[in-house]
Amino acid sequence: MNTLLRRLRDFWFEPAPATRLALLRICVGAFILWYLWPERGNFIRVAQFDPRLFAPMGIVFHGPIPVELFTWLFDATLLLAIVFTFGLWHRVTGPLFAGLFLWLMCYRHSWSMIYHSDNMVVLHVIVLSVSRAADALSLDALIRSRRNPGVSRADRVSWEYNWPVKLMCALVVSAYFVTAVAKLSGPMGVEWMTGGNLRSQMAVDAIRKELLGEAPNRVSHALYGMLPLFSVLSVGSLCLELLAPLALLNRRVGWFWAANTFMMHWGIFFVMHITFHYHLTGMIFLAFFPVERVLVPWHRLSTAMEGRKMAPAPIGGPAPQAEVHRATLYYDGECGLCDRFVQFVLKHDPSEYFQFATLQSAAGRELLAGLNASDAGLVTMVMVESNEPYTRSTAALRICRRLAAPWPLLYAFMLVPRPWRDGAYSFVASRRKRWFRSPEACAVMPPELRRRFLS
Amino acid sequence: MSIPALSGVGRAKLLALCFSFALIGAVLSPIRQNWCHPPQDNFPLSYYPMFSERRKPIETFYYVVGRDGVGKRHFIREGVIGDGGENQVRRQLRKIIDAGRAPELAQQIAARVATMSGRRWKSIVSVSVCKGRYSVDDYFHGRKEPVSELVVGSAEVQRRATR
Repeated sequence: MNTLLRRLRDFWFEPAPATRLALLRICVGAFILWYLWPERGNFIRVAQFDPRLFAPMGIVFHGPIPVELFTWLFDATLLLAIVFTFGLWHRVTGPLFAGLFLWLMCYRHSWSMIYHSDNMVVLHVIVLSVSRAADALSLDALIRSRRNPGVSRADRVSWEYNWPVKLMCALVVSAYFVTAVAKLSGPMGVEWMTGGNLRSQMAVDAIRKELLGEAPNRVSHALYGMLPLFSVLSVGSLCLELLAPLALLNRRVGWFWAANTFMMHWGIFFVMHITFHYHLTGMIFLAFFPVERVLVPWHRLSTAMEGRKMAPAPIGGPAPQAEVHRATLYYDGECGLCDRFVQFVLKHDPSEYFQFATLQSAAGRELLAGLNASDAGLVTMVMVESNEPYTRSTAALRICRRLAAPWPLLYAFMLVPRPWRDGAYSFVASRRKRWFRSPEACAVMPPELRRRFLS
Repeated sequence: MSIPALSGVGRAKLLALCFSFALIGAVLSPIRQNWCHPPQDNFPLSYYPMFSERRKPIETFYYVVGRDGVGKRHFIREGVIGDGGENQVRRQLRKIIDAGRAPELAQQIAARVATMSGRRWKSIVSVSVCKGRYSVDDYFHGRKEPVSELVVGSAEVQRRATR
C-alpha cells in the first residue's frame, strides 16, 4: 500500500520545468481568444433568444439576464482572457477568469444546446488558473525579474509545474472514458461495436443537415454502403475511449493515444463536418507533450548571444572562451563511482557543455526539493538540460550523447525500454558505495576546470 | 529548521492531490446518469450521450420547408430559422414544436424569408414547420421523400409591393 502511495506521489509530483505549464497557459489562453472573439455576435444573439428556451446549466442557477449585462460580462471575459494569456497578476486574475469563463460557457449552453466539445477547455482553464502557470513566460515573471534580478522562477524545475499538467491529461482521458461507458451502458451495449449504429449516427446527422438546408454530404453518402469500415471504426474509437486512462501511465503511450484520438476527430470532421475546435486544433492533447521543447532553439540562440556578448573583442591575443555550459550534472559528492564519472565527463567534454554540482551542495539541495526527493533517498545523478531534468539511465545516456566520439554511440541504448535500463542503473547504483570507495581527498583542480563546478 | 518547510511542501502537495482527485471525480461522476431515468446532461460535466443512443430504421426530423408557386419544396437553411448554429437551431426547433408554438415560428420565418433577396428566396410563397419521418436506408439509396410528414405550423410569405 505504501509502495503504491509512494508511486502515485512520485508519478503525480514528478518535476517539470516552469516553461511547460506556462506554455500551456499561453496556448489555452490564445485558443480561447481565437475561439471567443469571432463568436461575440453569435453569443449575444443567442442571449436574446426567447426566455422560454432557457434551461440553466452548470453553475448557472438563475434565469436569462439583460443582454446589456451579458455583453458587458462577455467583454470582461475577453479582457481577462488576454490578461490570463499574458500572465499578469495571475494569482488573482487567473481564478477570476476561470470563474467568469465557466459562467459564460454555462450560460451559453443553457439555451437548449450543450456543445460537449467546450467542456474540456473550461476544465483546463480551471486547472491552469489555480496553478503556478505564470511563473515563466509571463508579465508576472518579467516584473519579478525586474524587481529581484537574481531570483528567477522561469528556469525552475519543480513538482509544482507538473501536477497541473498531469491533471489536465487525466481530465481528458476521464472524459473519453465516460464517453465509452455511455456507449457500452447505453441501449446498444457491446452491439455498438458492430458498426451499424455508428453508420446510422452518421446517416441521421447527414439527413438532419440536408433537411436544414445544407448541401448533401458526399463523403457520408459514399461511405454508407461500407458497413465493415464502420465496424473497424467503432471498435477503434471505443478502444481509444475505453483504454484512454492507459495514456497516463507512460509518456509514449500518451503520445500514441493523443495522436490517434486527434486523427479520430479529424476523421469525424471529414465524414460528418462536426467541428470540435479544441480537439481539431490539438489543444486538448497539448498537455501530453513536452511543449517546452519548442523553446530549445530559442534557448540555444539566447545562450549563444550571451556567450558572444561576454567574449571581448580579441586584442592582441586569443579571446577567453565564453562560459556557455548548456547542461548541469548533479552527482553524489560522496560516491567514488560518481566522482570517477565526473572525471570521465570532464575529460571527454571538450566543448565544455556540462557544468557540475554535487547533490549535497546548495544548488543540489534546491534541485532535490523541486525533484520531490531527499538527498538520502535519491540514488541517481540528475542531469538538467534545457530546464528538463533527466535521471538514472536516461541522464547517463544523454550525457554520453554530448561527449566526444565514440561515446555518443552509447545513446543508442535509449532504444532499450526505460524500466530495463533503469533496472540495470539501479542495480549498480545501489551497490556503488560497496564497489567503489569514495575519494579520500579531493584532487586539486586547475582554475579552468574549477569554474565549471557550482559548489 | 527543515521540518516546517517540509510540512509546508507536504501540505501543498496534499492540497494539490485533493484538488486533483476532486476534479477527476467530478468529471467521472456523470457516469451514473447512464443508469438514471431520465438521464440529465449538464455542462461542463457531461455523461457524453452523443453517439450512444440506438438509431431506428425510421427516424423523426424537425425542419422547415418553403414552397414556391408551383408547389416545389425548398428546405429553409438553419441560419434563417434561428441563430447559434445548426445543432442549436435543431434543438430549438424541436423544443418550439413540442411546446406547440410552431405556427408562431412559421410566421417569424415567413417574415424573414420575405425580406431576403435572391431568385430562390423570392420564389417562396409559403413556409411550413414540419415533423417528418424518414427511412434512413431509403434516404441513402436515393429515395429522399418522407415516410410521413406532419405540418405543425405554416404561414404565407407576405411581401410588400415594390414599384
